[in-house]
Amino acid sequence: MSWFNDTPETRRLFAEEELLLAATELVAQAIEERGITRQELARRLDVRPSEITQRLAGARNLTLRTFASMMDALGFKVLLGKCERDAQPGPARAMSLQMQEDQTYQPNVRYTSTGARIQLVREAC
Amino acid sequence: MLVEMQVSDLIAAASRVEDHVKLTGLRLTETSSWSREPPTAAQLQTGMTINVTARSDGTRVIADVEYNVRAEERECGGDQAGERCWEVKCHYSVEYEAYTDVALATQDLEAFGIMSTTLTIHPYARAFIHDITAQMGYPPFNLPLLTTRDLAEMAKNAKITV
Repeated sequence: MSWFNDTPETRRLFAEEELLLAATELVAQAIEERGITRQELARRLDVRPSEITQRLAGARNLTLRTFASMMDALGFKVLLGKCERDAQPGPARAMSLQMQEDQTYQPNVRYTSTGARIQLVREAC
Repeated sequence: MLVEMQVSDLIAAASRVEDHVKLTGLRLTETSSWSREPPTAAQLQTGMTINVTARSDGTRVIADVEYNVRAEERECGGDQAGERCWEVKCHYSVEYEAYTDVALATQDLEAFGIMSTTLTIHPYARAFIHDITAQMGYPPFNLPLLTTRDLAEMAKNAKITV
């Protein structure tokens, strides 16, 4: 006896939530890999930091567009895959989500002219 | 006065000390760093100040070299012009054993500290600052390479503080 009430409706809802969870987990993983804060991601996307927190917590509807823009701001592409849903009753397997590092991504910060000087420090007599 | 000496004289002054000492210890004694979150797009102007002290107690020569490197957002209009982005300080202490009884002139010690000790420390400081700036989230910053002649020229323009 399964705890899951397997009907087409519940299976569809589960598939939606499973994919949302996979997407938010991928964003969290990308944030950790980049070593930046959510505040910094918010700044790159020109949104409030609370917006990022709510998206990752599932409080806001994560659309494909916002998901893609978040991953792009982190310097990743998203590769989508699919697999057959199990014929047996139960939760469907999630579509696979992978991220691929965007080799062209570079933070747009450049260093210019280094002025250098020496100071001789003498001990006070 | 160092500022009145020719580059070749500065090199000779440092060599006079090198002939009588040998390196016995090198330590990173103090560091501090500060940064703000990296801007999304900016040009950063960097500056480096190296503070050098050198002294002798007869049996040892001790030289201290402190690097102070900072980056500021380059002025190009807008609210963020000239804002400091990161700053790193690292202080090294280098100890030498004086294995002869020759008295070392103060001016020679100072030239030695600026040129020989700084050249010894520079690769370590370069690696340290490269790593620290990368951990701050900025592109890693590489200190410019220094030659003996570069240091001699900087010595001639050295500011003296007490």
